Amino acid sequence: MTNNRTTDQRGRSASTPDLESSGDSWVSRYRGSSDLRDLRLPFRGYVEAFVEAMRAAGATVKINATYRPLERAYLMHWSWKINRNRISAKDVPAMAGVPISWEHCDAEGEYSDAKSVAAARDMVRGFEMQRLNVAPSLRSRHTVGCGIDMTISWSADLLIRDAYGELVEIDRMPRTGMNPQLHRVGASYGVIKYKRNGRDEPHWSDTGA
Amino acid sequence: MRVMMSAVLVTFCLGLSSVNAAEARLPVDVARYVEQREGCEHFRGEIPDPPDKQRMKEIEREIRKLCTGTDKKLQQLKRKYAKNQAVMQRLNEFEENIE
Repeated sequence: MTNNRTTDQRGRSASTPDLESSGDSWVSRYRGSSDLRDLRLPFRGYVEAFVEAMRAAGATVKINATYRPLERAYLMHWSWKINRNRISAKDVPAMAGVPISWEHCDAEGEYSDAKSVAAARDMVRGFEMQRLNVAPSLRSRHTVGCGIDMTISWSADLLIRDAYGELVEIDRMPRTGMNPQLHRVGASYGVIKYKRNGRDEPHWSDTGA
Repeated sequence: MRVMMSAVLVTFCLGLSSVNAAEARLPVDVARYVEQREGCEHFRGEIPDPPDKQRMKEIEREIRKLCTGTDKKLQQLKRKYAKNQAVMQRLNEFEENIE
């Protein structure tokens, strides 16, 4: 199923009355969150307790990202694919709750691939994904509210309470979220440091993915 | 709290061991691909929003390492193991043509 289209009098867009043409106006919608309250329970509770313990111990914790709506991931994914000519705007699947028409028409009311791609390019530019060499994914731990990106630092040895109530001294380097001693403390709360392939300094989740 | 956290860890470890066991049954080249592709999948979901230049550089670096050539490799493996249902099931979990 794809979103339907018609042509307006200027022949510029392909929206039906209930659909709005793709373009940079979509970039400001369905924004992601950096609020812990937008995480899914019970993970939210685990993160709140862990962050509270780090701050109580004197660490600085800056939350960069928590929840990303599926709608936002949809816009990022398909705008990238249309812009790179990996799919025709006519073939993009519709998403419930996202009244977007990816198709644009020319002055004669005919489908225009060039205009459709240009509108997608505007969105890619708005998301600042011009240099990205793969399509952003449609799903992640962030879209299910079970992933968090946070910048963590401290200046002296950290005495932190784990989820069992035990005081743990973190006396090894680095004094960042990449510290293995801190990873064990996080795991006691159910907040798992990213452990798949690659280096992702700020990312933690419910599974380590 | 202690009981709850123990349950969290046990559940997590059991889940992890069953995943590892399933992956261990895959041919070596497929298991290696799956491991790398899952890293690629992760970073595809980490595009900074709102945009953040420093974070984007980190993501692009990891994507170059983990995702480059992934479409071609996926096709090759699907051809090679076309008759192996277990392998195909695992490979079909990955989106094609992401590059």
